[in-house]
Amino acid sequence: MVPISDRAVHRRAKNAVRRCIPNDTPYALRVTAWALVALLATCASAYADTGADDVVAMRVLFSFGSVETLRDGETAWEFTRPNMVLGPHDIVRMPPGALLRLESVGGDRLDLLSGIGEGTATDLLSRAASQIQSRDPQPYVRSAEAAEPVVLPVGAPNNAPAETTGGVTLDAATEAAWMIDRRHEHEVVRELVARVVIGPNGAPSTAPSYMPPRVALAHALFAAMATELAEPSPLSTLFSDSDSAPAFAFASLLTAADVPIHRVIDGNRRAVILLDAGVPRDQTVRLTASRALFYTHADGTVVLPLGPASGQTTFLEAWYAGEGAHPDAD
Amino acid sequence: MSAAFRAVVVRCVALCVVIILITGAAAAAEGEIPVGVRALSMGRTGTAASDRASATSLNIAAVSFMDQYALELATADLVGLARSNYLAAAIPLSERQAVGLDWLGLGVDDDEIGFAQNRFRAGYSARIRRGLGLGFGLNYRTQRAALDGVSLGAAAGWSVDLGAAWAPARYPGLNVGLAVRNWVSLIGAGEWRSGAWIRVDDGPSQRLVPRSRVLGVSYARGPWVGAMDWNDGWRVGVERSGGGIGALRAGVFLPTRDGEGPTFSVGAGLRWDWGSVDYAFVSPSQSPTTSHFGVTVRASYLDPPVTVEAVAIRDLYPALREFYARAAPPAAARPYESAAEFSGDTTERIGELWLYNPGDRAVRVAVRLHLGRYTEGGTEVVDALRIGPGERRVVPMQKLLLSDEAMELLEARSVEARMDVVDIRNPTRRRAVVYTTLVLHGRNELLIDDVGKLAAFITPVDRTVRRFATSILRAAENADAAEGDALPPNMRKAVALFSGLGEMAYAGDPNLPRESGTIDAVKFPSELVAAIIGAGDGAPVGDCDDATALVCSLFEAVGVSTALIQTPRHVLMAFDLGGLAYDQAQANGLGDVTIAIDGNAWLPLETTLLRRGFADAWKAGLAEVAKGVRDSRTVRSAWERYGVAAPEFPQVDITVSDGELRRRIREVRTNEWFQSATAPFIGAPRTP
Repeated sequence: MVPISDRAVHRRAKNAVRRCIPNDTPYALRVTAWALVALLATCASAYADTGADDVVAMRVLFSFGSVETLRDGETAWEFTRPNMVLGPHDIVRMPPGALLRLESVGGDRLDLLSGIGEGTATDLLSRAASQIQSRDPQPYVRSAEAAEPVVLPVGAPNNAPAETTGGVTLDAATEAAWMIDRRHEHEVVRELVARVVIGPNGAPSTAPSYMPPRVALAHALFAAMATELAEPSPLSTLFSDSDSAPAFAFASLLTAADVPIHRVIDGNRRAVILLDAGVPRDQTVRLTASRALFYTHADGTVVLPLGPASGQTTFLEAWYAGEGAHPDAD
Repeated sequence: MSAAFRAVVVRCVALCVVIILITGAAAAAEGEIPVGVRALSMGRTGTAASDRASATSLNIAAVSFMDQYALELATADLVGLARSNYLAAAIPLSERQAVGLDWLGLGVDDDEIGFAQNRFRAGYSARIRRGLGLGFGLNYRTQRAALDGVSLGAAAGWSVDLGAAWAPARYPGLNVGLAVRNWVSLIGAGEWRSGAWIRVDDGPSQRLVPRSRVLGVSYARGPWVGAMDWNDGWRVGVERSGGGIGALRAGVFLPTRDGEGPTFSVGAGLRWDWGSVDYAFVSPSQSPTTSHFGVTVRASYLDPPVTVEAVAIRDLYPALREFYARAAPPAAARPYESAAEFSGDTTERIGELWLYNPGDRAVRVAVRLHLGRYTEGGTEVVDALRIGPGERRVVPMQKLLLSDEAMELLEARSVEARMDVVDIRNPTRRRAVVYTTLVLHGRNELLIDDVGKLAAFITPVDRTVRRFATSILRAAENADAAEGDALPPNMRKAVALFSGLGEMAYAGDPNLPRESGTIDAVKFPSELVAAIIGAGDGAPVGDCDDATALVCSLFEAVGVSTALIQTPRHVLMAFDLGGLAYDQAQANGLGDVTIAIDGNAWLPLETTLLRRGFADAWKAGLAEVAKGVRDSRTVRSAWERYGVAAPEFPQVDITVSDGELRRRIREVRTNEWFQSATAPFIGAPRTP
């Protein structure tokens, strides 16, 4: 696929050439001129791309934990390995407790990412940098390692490992409610789903394009839900139990959006949502390289166990919180 | 009295004895006309140290310590009869060499008596070591006398002076000097006699001044300077500076010869960067008082190419010697506006200098850092840096070579650091010298703010480590054969090595907390092994750092890659299962008993659980990692950055009991949890 910026380059070049090469120009001359234009346009776009890559390309020096990468244009996630060069559009996914040490391709900067997150390397680094500046508790830590070998300022409060809330332990009454809850029929839920599903452009507005559609939708629904529950809203009023609200609300939203799920209670009495990812069994690499994040039914259905809990802000956190919850894995 | 002080005294006395033996056995009366207004006002001291050109006469060896051009003029009306005029110059030839020249003219000219004596002295002085200078001088004297306008004759002669000066670096402010004035004279062809001799009109020779030996000590501390000389009596003086410009002085000369009384003196001086004015009032007990006036003009020999506005240097750890020695990635010298920005801290690995070029031409400077015997002549920490006219640059120090002696330090020590900032086109003269102090830590001390630094203590080539590892593996071969070889080779080696360590009387606290970011004392593997053998059964001998360094060393010694893992208050290790991709490990059911490092499956071990065995250490390692990991590095990548500190240790012989080792290995392999965790390797299903 040609990036939009490249299309614009080509279009502008063509328009310019149309004005410069009238239709009555001899055929051989026109062919030569067009070839020259095409060559120049290609060089220009290649030059532009090269410049961008130079700015953001990072080389992986070290990874700890099941850090995954989805290459730009690819559909299969793979575990991140040393010396892998991450382009500006490659996606990195880091589980809780993971570490990723990066070096700019120029070799003049080293960065350490830690904790849960997903995005391009540039996204994660800039997010880490902004969090360091704001000195908020954070899942990412970045450290300039240019001279002094202080990679992580050990003992610093902003260096605490990322904690993900690992789901909600339910009491007996809530367990029963969890299995039979029907608030997905409520108008508030349906309105929120409609806003997310339709969106201003007719598609989930916040869903990452590299995810399979059903997971992308779940991602967008979770983001919308987290926003609504974080402040007084009809949704937070409807799901007022702060501990179990995310699990109940997310299950309701998914059901209302016709995403096939199962509500289960795992061995630790946690509310777990089993999301049918909608991908064939042989294409699980489109979801993740980590087999701990999904399981397959005997019928070939690929299921993602999710453990929504309060404090989570991204679908990824709920996904990692459901890791290990395999009630009936084959 | 400390050993160091005793050593100084012994060396001082030895030096004096050598020179006295060379020059003669006994002290003699000082016969030279005293010179140097400052020295006169301090009781005729000045042998140990002088910053005036009159050092040419007082102790020629001290001239090489001056590092400045100096010209001194003095005059005095001696007891109302004669006038003495004195002119001296000190001229540095290099940072360590100088020459001194002086002239003393003494004249009496009244209606009846005409007398004139001139003494010319030319001396050479060199610092043969940093604090030790030696010198010699040649004197040429002329003398003539007349009575009622009729000449009584003229005389001339040569003599030789010697001098030594010592400023021990360990005791800043202390100076010791020994001067032998008029050691010998050349009387005739091949005839040498002690003292200063002159020959009268090609006639008989006569000794004009006897040889004298003067031993002096001075000590400066803050605004005070005290000095004491001894030859034909005790000479004691003191100076008190004030306001950065003025000084008051007093002294006394107490002769030891019978019949002579003391001579008291007082004086004052004003001093500027470029010169000084001195006055001395001398009051002998048996003759009239005398006033001496002197003027000195000076200019620094060194012409600094830049101004060093600030220096920040880190405390150093010998264990990171390789790290310091590796050139840092070229860091640009960043500009700054004003020295007021200096906070005293630095983010650089060694330190930084704040340099200002006040001139109107660009200069290229290099910086050499000296830490005494810990840098063996210094090391160039900045190489050919250009600083434009009027520019201010913060310059990082790039690399530092610590000597082997630094690796022998067992305790932290304050060290004086000297930095020479030189213009590379004229490094001898275009030089700025600054001093600061830093702490050089003991070889076992380390600030573990990066877990990778621990790799400096992981020494797989250590003789004890290699021998221990190979002997364990040899002994374990039979056990492996008995148990089958379904496990990956790296795991078999790990089980054997861990079991071999468990055989030892080691029982460290399994979770001895490590205070992160504080200075820790880490034992080298050889030291820990020796401590384990020397300790009683069950006595704790180390903490998690020590145990991790030992286990990693053993594993690396047999080719098993290891990694360091730092959790909030703990350090543990992991080893590579042999390149098993983590997705394969997950597919085979090993995902929850291994961890992913660099995309491969690794196995974490809690290294302080040596006695409880491999399986418990594995389980504990998994649990520790699950609590959250702050940092991790593979040991090989950490070595690339920090290197290995490898002091020499005597080899420790460790006896490995084959039977006991096999029993321990069997115990691990029959452990229920271990069998479940490793079931995928033998194609068996995992026990839930």
